Amino acid sequence: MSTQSQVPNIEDAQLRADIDRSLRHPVMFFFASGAAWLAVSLLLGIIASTKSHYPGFLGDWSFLQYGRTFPAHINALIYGWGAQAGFGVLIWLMARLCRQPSKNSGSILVAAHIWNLGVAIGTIGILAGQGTGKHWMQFPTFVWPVLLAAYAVIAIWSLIAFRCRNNDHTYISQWYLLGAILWFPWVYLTANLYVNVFDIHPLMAAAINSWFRHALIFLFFTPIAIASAYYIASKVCGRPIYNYSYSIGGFWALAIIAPWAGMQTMMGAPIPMFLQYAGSAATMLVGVPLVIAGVNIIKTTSGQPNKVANSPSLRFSIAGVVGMLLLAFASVILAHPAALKYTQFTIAGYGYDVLAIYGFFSMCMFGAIYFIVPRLTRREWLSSRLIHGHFRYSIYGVLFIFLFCTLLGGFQQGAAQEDHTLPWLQAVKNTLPYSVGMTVALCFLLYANFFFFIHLTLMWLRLGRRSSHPTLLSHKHSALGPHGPEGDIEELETAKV
Amino acid sequence: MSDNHSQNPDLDENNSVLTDAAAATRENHMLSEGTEPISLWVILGSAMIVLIGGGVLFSGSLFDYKNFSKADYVRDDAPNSGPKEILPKTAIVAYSKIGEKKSVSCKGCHGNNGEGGSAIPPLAGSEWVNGPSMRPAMIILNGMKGEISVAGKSYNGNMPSQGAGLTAQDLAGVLNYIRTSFGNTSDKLITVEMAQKAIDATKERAGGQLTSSELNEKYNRDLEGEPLDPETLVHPKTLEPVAAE
Repeated sequence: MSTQSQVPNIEDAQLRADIDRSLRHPVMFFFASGAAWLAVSLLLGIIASTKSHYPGFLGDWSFLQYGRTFPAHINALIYGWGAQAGFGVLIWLMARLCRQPSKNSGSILVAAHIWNLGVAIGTIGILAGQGTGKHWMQFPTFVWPVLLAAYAVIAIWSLIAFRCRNNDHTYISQWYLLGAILWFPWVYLTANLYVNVFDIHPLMAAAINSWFRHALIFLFFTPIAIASAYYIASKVCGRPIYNYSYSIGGFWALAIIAPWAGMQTMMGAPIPMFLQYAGSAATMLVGVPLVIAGVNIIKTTSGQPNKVANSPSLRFSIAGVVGMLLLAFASVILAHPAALKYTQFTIAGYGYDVLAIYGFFSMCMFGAIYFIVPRLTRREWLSSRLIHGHFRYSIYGVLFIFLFCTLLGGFQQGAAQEDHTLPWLQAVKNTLPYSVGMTVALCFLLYANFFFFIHLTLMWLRLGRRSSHPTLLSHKHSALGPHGPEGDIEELETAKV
Repeated sequence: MSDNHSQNPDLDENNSVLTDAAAATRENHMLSEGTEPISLWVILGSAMIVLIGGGVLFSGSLFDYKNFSKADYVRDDAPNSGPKEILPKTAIVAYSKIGEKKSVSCKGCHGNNGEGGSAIPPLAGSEWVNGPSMRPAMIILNGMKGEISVAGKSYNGNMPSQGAGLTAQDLAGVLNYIRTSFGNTSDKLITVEMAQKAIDATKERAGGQLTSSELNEKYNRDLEGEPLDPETLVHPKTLEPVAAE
């Protein structure tokens, strides 16, 4: 950016620094506890996955049965990591884009603790055998109102900040964030009321549950991740969004299509056929807004391969956007009725969830965290090698799960199940190599995220580098780093004097 | 520069935005929106997704509340699985199913519950229906006119012949249905062979509608043959009795 002023605008910088200061406690708490939950969740996932090919593993402990560790794994992933990382990014990004320091970080921090308590009680409840057995709602039923109340306290201030924003213009990320803020309580409350409170037909409860899972992905995780990726791409590259009207179109397409998705997982069940087929078509059509956003974000960074390679935030975000394009592809493939016939009752569904939550959402969140944390702690990331490792092993793990489990394993297991001439055991045997692969992939992810958690905790303890050099993923420092012009802290201090 | 936070030192010794919030300071400005043209490939790719998704959405009627899955979703029959074995049903169920289907034309005049009308005698509780089985069979096949007294009331209607296209199976089904429905209780079912006797008798007749006097003179008897116990197991299509296993 040769046109960019070398002299930073002090007032802007002051405002940005004020916003960062005002939110540093709740956001850092969300990120650090989220990263801890991610590590816990992956550990539980490894235990569950190991049992699928080595059933005797830890068999003497009832609280580590597959039926408990697997739901504990997925719920800790959704509510412990996913939601908390999302909240952190949401409140920080909304405050930045509304150009207002938050005045309510105290109540957000309290709500964040309550949320964590809810997730902890829920996870322990599942491991103690009190899970409800409803996908993504396995926490004992008294937990969901607690989480919803905590959410209200966390998110309401972002809504108010938007209402009282200091600039007229609404940036595309704000559209997506507003969507996520309003859709989450709708989806979460509706699904929990119908599944856990109202006395409705159990088949319809199962259908609403499958709608809930897709709505949570497409109406909560997806908009936050897209908002963050739009912001990071534009911010780090110092460029406007490639085509702004397209990005708005993408938002409304998501808002219209995504709420229909989900019930295709009930295909063949005695629920009205239009629910199954509308779900199937909507899940495929969600690919359109995902492609629009993905191409728009990638085009925004085009021509700057060095920045994509060197900036950890941009690299993770772009990887997340590629994950989003893969998710669009997987949606089109897996939600088609002709494919559902094979993949409906296989590991493909789990692979799809992992792709959405880790390959797409989490990668975007990591990008945002690598961007936000140095601003909150006023320290730079300690080690580019740790970031490198985090990136590499995340990619290995997710690609492994996507290619081998979602696509190959899912279809092979499905084809074996469809074959009448073979006993059921054959389908299990066909899936065995993929189950082993899944365990290995989860080990990669745990390895990556254990060190990410350590790195983040050190940053939280303000043990990061005190420098104005951003931590880049290249060995040599360029005169103009991807995060802007660099300068030594000593140089700046002498200049000030 | 002025330092807003010096009275509130959260950080170390001093609190310069430039030095301590270096990351926030070096950030780029957010620029206004771009309007660069989106490439044709994105539009083509989106169009393809819409095409495939639309193909699913418009793949025939989605508002069929009788079926819950489409033909392409249900898996093919297993190779060498052979024809499906049809399970036998009790005679009363099998006959009534056929009879109920065929009784639509009866219900058109006699009412859905066989209650009849001002000029049309009821089927419910009628001695003509529940009495000797030849009479109702002949009425259905030939029609009826003139005065008739049913359940203590006199009617003078005109019922056209319903015999066209009615097979012995259908006739047996209808007879058994009306004789066991609307509160009528017959514990003996009319078999297909017995119904055939009524069809044969109709062929011998010259034709034309019957009157109550002709019915009482010629046909006041049961159909010839061995009636069926309602609980006998029969094949649901051929109505042939099946040996109990």
